[in-house]
Amino acid sequence: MADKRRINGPASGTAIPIFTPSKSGAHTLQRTRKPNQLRKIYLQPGVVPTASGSAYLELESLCHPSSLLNAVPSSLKLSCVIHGPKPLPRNANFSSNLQLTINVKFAPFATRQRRGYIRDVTERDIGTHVETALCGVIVRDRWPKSAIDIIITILEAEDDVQWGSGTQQQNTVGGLGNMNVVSGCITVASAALMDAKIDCLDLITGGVAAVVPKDDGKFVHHLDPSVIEEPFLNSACVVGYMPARDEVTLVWTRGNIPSYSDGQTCRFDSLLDSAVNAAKGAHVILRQVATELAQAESTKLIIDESKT
Amino acid sequence: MMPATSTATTLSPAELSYLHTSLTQTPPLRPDLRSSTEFRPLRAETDLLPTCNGSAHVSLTDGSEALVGIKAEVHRTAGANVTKRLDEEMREKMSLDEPSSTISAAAAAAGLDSNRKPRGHPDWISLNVDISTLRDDDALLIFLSEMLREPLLTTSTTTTTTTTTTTATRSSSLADMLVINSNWHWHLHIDILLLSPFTASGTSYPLPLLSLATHLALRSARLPKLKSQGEEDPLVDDDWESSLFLFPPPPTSARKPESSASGKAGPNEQHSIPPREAGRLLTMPPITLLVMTVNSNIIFDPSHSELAVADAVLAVSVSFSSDTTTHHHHHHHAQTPTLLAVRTIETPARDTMRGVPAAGEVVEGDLVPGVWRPRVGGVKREVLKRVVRAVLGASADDSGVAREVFDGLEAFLRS
Repeated sequence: MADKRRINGPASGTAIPIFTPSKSGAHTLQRTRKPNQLRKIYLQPGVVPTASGSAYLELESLCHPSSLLNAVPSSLKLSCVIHGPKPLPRNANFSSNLQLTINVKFAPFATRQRRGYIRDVTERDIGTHVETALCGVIVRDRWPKSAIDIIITILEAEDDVQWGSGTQQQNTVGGLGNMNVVSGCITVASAALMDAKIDCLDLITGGVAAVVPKDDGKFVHHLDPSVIEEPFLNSACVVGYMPARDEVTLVWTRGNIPSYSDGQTCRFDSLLDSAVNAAKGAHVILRQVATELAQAESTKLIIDESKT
Repeated sequence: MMPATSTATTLSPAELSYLHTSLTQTPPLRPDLRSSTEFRPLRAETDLLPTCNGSAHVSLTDGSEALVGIKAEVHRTAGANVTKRLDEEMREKMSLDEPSSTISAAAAAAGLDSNRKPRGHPDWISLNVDISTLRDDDALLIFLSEMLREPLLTTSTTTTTTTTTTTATRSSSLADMLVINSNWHWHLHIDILLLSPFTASGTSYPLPLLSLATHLALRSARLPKLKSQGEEDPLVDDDWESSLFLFPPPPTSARKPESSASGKAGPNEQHSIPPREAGRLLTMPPITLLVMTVNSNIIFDPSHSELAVADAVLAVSVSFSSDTTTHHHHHHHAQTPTLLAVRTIETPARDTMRGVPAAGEVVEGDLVPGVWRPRVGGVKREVLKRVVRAVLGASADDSGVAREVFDGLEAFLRS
């Protein structure tokens, strides 16, 4: 679908740069974190005063010693704004549940490949995943005939596949970048819902895990994998997880998972558990944010009372 | 914004409660009296479009039908000359230096060594879903096409522990099968059309239908035989009779007793493996199954009314691969199922109206048996694991539902 309302740059004006493979054979960063160590998370609720709820999430950017052009590590920077609950428009059908509209948009400069202004297929697909995760956590029948808009802007994201890897060396599982975005969107939306004081069953967080083959033929589970650090993936999984209820509202796995592999335990089981563990890690941050929000609320309440 | 049409249901709270109660029985009582793993019967025909490389038409008993056409075009590979020249330069450089230790076995396994055949690119497969009653930018349409496209692009890898300590990983994806040489490739257009009218409140979720139709079309797809060799510009044989299947039918082994009785054995085997596939991994196109859970019950191929009370709806994509080099198991378990993708689909049960007990409103949180409450929350991990186990089979002896579906399709294609 062409964007006819704006003057855009040429759709295919420049040739894609092709990078020579570096002599070491790897233009990736070595993962220095432990397999079960997440990147540091910065989460700040209430960044947009005019919205009923908002939050900003940033992941630690990986320092990189080499100056390779195609291995510039980009981190994840997300901003989420919630408007509502507000009444449904008059012409809308009756609904006894709160209606969610989720809008996930990459900023044009968010990734290496420039994104257009109109939401493309990937953005809509990510939006559907986030919607599935959030619909299960909001107590929707407390707001009949109303709606909320959740708008998530991705300011910076990892590329979906490794940049510059060309056709010769592609990641065995594409889409890890998108999975990281889905996971980040769930966590940031959860913080924004908290800021907007919308009733939820639990604090939902997202988590990503990947199965990485090692030299000795074994497989290692990496929590919170970054595209630039994982050139070879077997499979990856993202979950939306509610720790207090120990329930999962979203599962999305990609890659090939053999059925009855080593040790009679299906590899899906352990992958799912790893992703849940990653979500539990993010939950620690979210709980801290919740505590700080509650403390700020109570001090505000005390000040208000002393005034009257 | 209007309430999402894709989740609208026309069932009343009382009907939903009735359905939910009957589906939570052990075994579940389904409205059409199927067993929990039973699929709705379907009619299928393949190779019906004369201008396509492969096509299939599948219709279900509820009147929904889908038509899939596959067309292949020869395209020039972008940047082929540059990458090839660079590869050669690099190989020279690398051979001069001592073997670098940073190139791990995993790197070699994933096809980093440049002596290999060029790898395919996901962009060479374009998939398009068209549902006449939906707008082109409808979320359901996009979600469906992503769900069908995703498993097609996934590289299926088998890891076989060989005599050495390293694991030999051989990977092949559909895109890799489209490589002609370093300059040319086939471009596959998969066009999926839902022929029956689709209304969100009245017809079943079209995913299983579209997935089966795509699978059958891919299985019937044939590419013309190449006359050119190696790096020559592609020239194809115009005799359609000599064309090769994109997915060669799996060799009929010991599971067909009549093959030995008819005296056709060994080299005269009818479904012989084409030379280009010999010693490689044979992968079948993926099948995506729709599974729903209600409490602890797992229900396959849910109809529209059953979906309305689901706790969770999952799309599970499975592929089967058989190793052509190791034929130590000559029964049909030589083909191992591989899980390619699992996706959660938003359940319509969340956006339903709650029922009001005859005695009047109760305190929130109090559950009155027989009165419908919209589903909230997610599902336990254990249920998800059980779903995957039911699809794939818990062990080598216990074949899963995916195997049954695959065998059914196999029997249809052979007939």
